Amino acid sequence: MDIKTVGVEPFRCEISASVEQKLSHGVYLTFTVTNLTEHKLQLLSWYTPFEGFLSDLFIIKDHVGELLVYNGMMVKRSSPSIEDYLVFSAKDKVEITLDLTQAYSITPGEYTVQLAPKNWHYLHHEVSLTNQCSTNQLSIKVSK
Amino acid sequence: MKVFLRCIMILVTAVSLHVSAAKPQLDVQVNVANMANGDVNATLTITNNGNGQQKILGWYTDLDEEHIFKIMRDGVEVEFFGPHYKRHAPVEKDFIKLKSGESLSQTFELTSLYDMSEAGNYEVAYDVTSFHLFSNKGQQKKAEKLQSNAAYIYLEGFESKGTTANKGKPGGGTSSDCIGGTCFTGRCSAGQKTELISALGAADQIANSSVSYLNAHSANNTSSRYDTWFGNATSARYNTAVAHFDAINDAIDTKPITFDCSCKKSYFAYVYPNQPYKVYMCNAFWSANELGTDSRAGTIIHELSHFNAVAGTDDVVYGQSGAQSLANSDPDQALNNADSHEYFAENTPNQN
Ligand SMILES: [Zn+2]
Repeated sequence: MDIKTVGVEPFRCEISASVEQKLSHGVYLTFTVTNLTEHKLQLLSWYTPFEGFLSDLFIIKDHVGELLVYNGMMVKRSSPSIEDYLVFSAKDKVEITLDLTQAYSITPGEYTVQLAPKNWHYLHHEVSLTNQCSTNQLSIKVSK
Repeated sequence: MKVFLRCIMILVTAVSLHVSAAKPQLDVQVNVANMANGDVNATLTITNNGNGQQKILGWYTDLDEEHIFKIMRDGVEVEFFGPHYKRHAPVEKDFIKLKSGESLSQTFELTSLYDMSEAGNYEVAYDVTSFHLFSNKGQQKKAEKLQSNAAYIYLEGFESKGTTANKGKPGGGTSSDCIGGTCFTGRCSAGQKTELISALGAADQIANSSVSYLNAHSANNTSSRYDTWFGNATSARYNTAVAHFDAINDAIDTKPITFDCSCKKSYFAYVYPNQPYKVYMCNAFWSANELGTDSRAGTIIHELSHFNAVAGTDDVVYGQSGAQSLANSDPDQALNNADSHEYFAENTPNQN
């Protein structure tokens, strides 16, 4: 496992994946968010991997640096309701694993992957705050 | 902007028929009404006129479950777009029980499920046949039937009256699912089609105003409208804004846009950026105003900007305050953010 981390208050975001993966099995990436604070925080799941592919979540480049086209949907929403927030108790860690082949046309080859930078919204004692949660690059070798 | 010169008339016809079969004394009535927005509503009323309790298989009382209406246009049966389910044998709980004198009544919108796009005289009747219509006890020897007499309605059909948003598009008005080059999938009702054509006209209007603004200004001569949504202008950034709005405007004026009405989620809308020019409209779109902040027109601008063939924007932040701070903190990302384009085009509250 190759894990790259960028610490950002109040959350830490990590992406991890097996370096060598088989296309026929799917290309999996695990996204982990840790609440670094001693408080309960609620993270808006919109535009994060926690809601799956409802936006272009990752920057994936092939071996010549060409960006892969996102094949999934992009959803415009109205205002969030409480069910759209993910609850993190103090020091809590939540992870999700996604199959990148569901949203990107991956063929055998070498890729670099990183989380697309987005502003994330979270609630602390009902106060809405924003934060950028970005990760470093990860390399994945995909074989047939 | 009104596209349809449809008469605003409400026609109501009621016909009832006593079912000839001796056993189920169910009386079926169909009323048909042409609504102001172009929808056609059919109200089905089934009454138990017998002395005892009567049963009827529930899915034959619901247009969302079964093809319960037979609709003819000038004597020719029209196509039904609704679902055809493969059913299990009915069990007791699938039957609706009506006490003596009791009736059930429900209204269904017809134009989203039947092809009622052509002008003509339409005849609508409840007409179902099933081996288990009234009972699940044993195998019936003969199929049971329940019918109403026909209700009649004249519809003017959909014809393009030539809007600026539809000029010069390929295939204008030739298919029954298209109106002047704008097409519909996912069972849009007649009323929804009218509202979409109108919203596209409003989107055209705000796209034109955006292009005019950008033509009248330049990188070293912006004003509060540009600065609020896209921040500090360099000539490269300004040219990006110009290219994006030219492409959005071009898509509205010349590309075959398809609207899909099947989404029932709370979203405004969604697209697949690599599948131009199909836009899926969801619940929040239908409750939005035509113009103004987060309006129908603005939503269309937002969604068109996502197509890789148009401006290839992302959703970097959402909402007005998020877009405003993005313009200050990262003008390059503002030009990559769909909401920033939407709010610039909506220009609400108005800025010069
Ligand atoms: Zn969007």
